[in-house]
Amino acid sequence: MTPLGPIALLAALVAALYGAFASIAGARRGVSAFIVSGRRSAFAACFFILLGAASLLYALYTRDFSYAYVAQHTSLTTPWFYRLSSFYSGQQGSLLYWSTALSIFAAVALTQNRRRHSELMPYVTAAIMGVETFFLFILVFVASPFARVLPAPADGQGLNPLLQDPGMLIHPPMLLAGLMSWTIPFAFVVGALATGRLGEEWIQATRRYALVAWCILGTGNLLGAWWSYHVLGWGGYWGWDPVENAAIMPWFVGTAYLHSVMVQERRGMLKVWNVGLLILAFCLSIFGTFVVRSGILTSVHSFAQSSIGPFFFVFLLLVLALSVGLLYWRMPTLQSENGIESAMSREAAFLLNNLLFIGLVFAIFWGTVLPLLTDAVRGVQITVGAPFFNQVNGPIALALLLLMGIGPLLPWRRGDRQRVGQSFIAPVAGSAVCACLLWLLGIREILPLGGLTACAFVVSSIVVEFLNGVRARRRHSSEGVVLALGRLIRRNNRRYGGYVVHLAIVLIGVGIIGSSFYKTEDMVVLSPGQSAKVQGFNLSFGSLQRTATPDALTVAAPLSVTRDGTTYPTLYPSKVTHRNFEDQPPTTGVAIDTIQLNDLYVVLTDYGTDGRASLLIWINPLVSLIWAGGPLLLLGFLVCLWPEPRPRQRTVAAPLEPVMSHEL
Amino acid sequence: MDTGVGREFRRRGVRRQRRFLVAGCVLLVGVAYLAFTVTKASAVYYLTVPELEARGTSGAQRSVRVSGVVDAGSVERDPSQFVTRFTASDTGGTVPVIYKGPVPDIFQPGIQVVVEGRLGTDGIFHADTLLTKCPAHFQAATPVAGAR
Repeated sequence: MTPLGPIALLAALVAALYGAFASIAGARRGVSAFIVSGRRSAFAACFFILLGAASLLYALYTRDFSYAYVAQHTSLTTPWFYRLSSFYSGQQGSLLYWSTALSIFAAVALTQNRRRHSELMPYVTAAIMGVETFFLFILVFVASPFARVLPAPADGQGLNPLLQDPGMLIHPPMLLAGLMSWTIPFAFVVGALATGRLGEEWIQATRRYALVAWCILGTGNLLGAWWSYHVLGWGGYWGWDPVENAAIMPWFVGTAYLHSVMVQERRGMLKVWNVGLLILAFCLSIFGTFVVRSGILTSVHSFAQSSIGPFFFVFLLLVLALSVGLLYWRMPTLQSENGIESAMSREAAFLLNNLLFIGLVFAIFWGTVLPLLTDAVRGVQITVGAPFFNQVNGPIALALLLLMGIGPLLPWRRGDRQRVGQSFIAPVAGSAVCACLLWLLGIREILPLGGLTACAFVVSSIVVEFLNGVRARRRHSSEGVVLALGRLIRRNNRRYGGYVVHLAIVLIGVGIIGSSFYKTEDMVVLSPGQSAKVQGFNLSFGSLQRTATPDALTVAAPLSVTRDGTTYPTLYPSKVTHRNFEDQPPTTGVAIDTIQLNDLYVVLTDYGTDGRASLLIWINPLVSLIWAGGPLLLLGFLVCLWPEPRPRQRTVAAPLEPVMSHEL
Repeated sequence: MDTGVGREFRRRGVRRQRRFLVAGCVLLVGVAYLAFTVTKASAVYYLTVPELEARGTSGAQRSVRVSGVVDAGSVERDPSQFVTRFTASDTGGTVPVIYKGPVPDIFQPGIQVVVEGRLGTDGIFHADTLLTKCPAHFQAATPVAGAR
């Protein structure tokens, strides 16, 4: 069997290295032949990487256990989709997946810009190829997915049953792709710094790439939370685990960037800041990729023993040194054209938004690397857990929530105190009404009450914006409400798409507040025929049910659920023992039912020979709102992504009366 | 021509920018201060088993975290009490652990665990939380199960 894989990756490495050098040489000397050659070489690298990826996928599909990676992650009985998904579940494979995904994105970006931004593109190519070179170097010389095991074992070790779950088919590739996709905007930043073309050009070129990266990474994180909740069975969805933190930090930086870039577009401000944010987002993505794949932060001893650790560390330092160096060199050209004129302006709100996000990222980063820092400084590791993150991030999140409501109400440049005050009346009134309703519903604790009122404020503010927009349109046209709304969104898709995204965030926020403050946990042991009363729910246990399939033996504890006379679907929390994995502990089948926005979440922790079932029962309010926020987020993203309509001409019989800009 | 009025506007502009810069720094310092105070209140030492044994029960008020590998044959479960008992080893030290609560699916002898809790006067580590490491994700070396 010809070693196509390693040869393809080596060829890709050579092509990427050549592509980087040729592009830079061509750009600096103005030799277009080199630039073209560099660009073609980038496509060649992409081709070879795809070849290498196909080779690994083929080996996985055909169960070629002569490859150590295939033997480690699959076995004769692993179904084909889990065989293929182990492409990205192991360390070497996930690095190859990262490279493959980057090569595809690079090909798209290079193709889309083949006739544009000709000054920037050679450096963009070089930057992307530089990153590819690093990953290919690791894949060829340090952590090859194509290491052989001779003689080839008859059967592989197989995929851990815990990972044999549909969620694992989509969450890791989405998350890794989300981390990877920040390379493209970063490459454009490098191009802009190298060429000195730091005006709107690179911002316009990267707007959609940054938006796509933000969306993929956000979806990946949300899917991770979903998987954690539905599969791991610990009753929660986010534990401030180092791996989770490493994946969310670049997303917060990206969110900050998406806001502050609007200030640069409108007022020519925050240029250095925006460049810095994208550099930070990319560095955190590399850091995140490394943390997610190497266990450095969760294991006490592992950094020095990780084979790829030192390489990532050096790469990160090089990237930082290069980017900061370029930034420092171009600092004089990045001076703001304008300054902030008033605290009561949208610029100030965006700036505050950014500072809060940076504060959030700092707090999360601090809490995540604290063990490493203290180990280096004091020789003993100190850690912080969920209480730290909740106590520090909570207030910041609340401030950001309020800002989401305040921002749209403020005009650009300078707000007239009276007009701004007037525009606040409706949203504040709306949130006050909500606060009273919540109080009457029994929500009296200050933190959830405050949080939910802030959410109501944001929703009111957004509704007011939509209403004002529709009203302003209808004042000058004979459109019906629906048509006016549709045209309003179409003409201002970035703004109203942003509002939809904010609504999605509020939905997620309400879910987080509800489940954080009002969840309950109970531990009960039930004998056959016994029932338990939990928060008004009556759970009746019949007797243990055993089901055997060719792949697994399932032991379930059927619980019939009633409350106040209404019967709900029966829950089947279970323990599943997989064939060929009898020595492994059984995996948990979590039973969840969403009843009127409360999740009844039951886990069977143990069952005895006497037929008794040990159950953990959680009531998690409003968690389904978090998942509902996902599709809404995607919708808002699509609205933002949509190409803006070309301005249309219309003959006018008489001049229109002037329309105040803040009404549109 | 640079009139005195223009200069005055610019001077005010610079002062305004500086005020915003100061306000921004104050905000960031505030966040940092919040982070540091909460860290002091909620910091937990992360020890190896030998370090835990050396520490003993001194400072037993504060929680600590310990990492180790679950010893073969040491796992006892009492389903009616949701209690799991086991011993964890790491570079030559072993500590018995007692834990009440949900147990991750991959928990088994040979797996690396991180427990948070207190070492009791009975010499048993009373754990409030139990975390395990998913072996398929990480290839880094785990703590060595102690050769006793």
